[in-house]
Amino acid sequence: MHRVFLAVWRWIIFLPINLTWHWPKAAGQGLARAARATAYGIATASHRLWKSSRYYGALFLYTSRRFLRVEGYIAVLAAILWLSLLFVNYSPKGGRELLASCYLLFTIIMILITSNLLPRERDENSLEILWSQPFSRGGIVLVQVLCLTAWCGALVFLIFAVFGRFLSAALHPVWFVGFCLSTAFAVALITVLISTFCRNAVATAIVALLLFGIHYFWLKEIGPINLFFNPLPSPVGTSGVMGSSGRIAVGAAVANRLFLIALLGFVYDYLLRRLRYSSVWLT
Amino acid sequence: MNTELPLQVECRELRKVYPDGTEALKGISLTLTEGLFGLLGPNGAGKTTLMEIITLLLAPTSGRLTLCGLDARKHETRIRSLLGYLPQFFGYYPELTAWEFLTYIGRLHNLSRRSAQDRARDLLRMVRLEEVRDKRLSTFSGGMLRRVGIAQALMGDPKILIVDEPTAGLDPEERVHFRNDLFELGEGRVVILSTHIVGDVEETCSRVALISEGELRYCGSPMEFVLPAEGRVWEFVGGSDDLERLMGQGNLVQVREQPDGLAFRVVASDAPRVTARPVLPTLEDAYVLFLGGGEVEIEQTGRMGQIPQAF
Repeated sequence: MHRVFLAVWRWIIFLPINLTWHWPKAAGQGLARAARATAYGIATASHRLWKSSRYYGALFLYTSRRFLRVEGYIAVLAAILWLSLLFVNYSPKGGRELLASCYLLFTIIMILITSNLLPRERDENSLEILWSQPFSRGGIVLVQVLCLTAWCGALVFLIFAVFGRFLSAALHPVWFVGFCLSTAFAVALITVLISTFCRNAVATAIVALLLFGIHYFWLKEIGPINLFFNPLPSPVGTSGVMGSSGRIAVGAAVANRLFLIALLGFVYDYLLRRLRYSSVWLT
Repeated sequence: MNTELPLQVECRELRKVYPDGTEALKGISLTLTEGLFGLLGPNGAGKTTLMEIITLLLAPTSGRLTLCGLDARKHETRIRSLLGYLPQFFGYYPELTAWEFLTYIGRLHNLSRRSAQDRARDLLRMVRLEEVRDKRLSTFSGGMLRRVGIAQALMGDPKILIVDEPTAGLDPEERVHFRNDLFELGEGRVVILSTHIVGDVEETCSRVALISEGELRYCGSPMEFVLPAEGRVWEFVGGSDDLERLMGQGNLVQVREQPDGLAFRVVASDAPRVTARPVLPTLEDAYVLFLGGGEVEIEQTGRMGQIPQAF
């Protein structure tokens, strides 16, 4: 799984940079070689993913069971209550605030769940068992984070099913869910990385909330370099429903998600190093 | 494919220095082959660090590790599929039943659902937990959990089985059962038993290594390990003043109450009393001889009996 992720990261982010850099001297040859290497990388990664689908599947199911028992129910309840309140307060201003608040909500949920992902395994001494199994530590963490993100995605769909009519006119559901999920995944991965420094779920949650709080409230206005970038334009009028005249900032949205992928690549790469070379904190 | 691999664990000059500067292993070299291998040493000797390096949980600071002929640095995933590990503090998932836990571990070993279930059924029968397989692990006793632990370590049918302090906290009956299970598992695989309970090693292992302060002090057969203790193990009956005197010296192997006083078993180069009689040494005596390594005060003459440095 993590190989697929790394392949995507390498070939989507670094290939264009590489090609741009070397274009004048080796354009045609470099492109052909890069295309072959990309195809080979994706094929190899997919083959390995298919071969290891059993244990990743088991890990996915088990993570769902282990981490979404109590936290999941509380999260769903909190989400529904929160969005009900938002609905009452913000509906006259349109869907933009609703989307922005969704980011905040999912960030909090993902922090609360993932801050306990590794510390819980470590405290219960089950990490040693898990990591002595025949697959990579990076793969384990990535599958667990993806699992939690997927459940978060289910929550997004649920919310969209209820409140989607406020957004549908301006933003397609796929975009809405995609934006929310990629942000949730980034938050989860960064929180897991923080947890490798903090040794404690509570400390991890506090540090992550502080970090993302600063990012959310202070760096909101810096455009594409914003984890919680909201592609919707400011509401037109006060009709309560996003008007069709509002234009989506497509360019800024694409730039933002590319920035997000690059950030995730660096975070994951550093997390792998932490897991591989700093394993003393585990035991 | 795995059957073609040699059953061997080879450590060459393994060193481990923790970030705080503690040197847990100081260049350990040993070769383990098929059968049960006992790793002895006092608490903090470096046994668990060595175990964690062999199970690839920790990376050594320097040195080379080869398992079944595969270099640990190059074939991590392959080697993990050949390993079974029961850690010192076995982390179980309290919300799962024994059956769910084992099938989950089986699935993590890339077994199909059917294969994982068949394997879990066989292992639960082997560790005598078939009747309680649908009970949650949180309701299990310490002994039952250790048995679940050994079953999970065997889920992948490992060529190398590593058990770290497996009998700690078990009652005598459970310990006997566990030792018998381990003895059976030694066929066709390398079993490394790390413990500071000498009796476990004595009963089961064909080879033994002694680690102290991060260094390998002995590696060989238990019989040879015992040899230096011959003629240096004594038993005598004494009083509570003897107990006070011997307690701090580190050479007292055993003390038990008798109708006529306290029966002592000590390791010393000379008889600690005139009434002391020499007895045949056990592995535990040799272990105490090695670890004590100092002096025993001899009551009658006031001489200090030097214990020879046997190793």
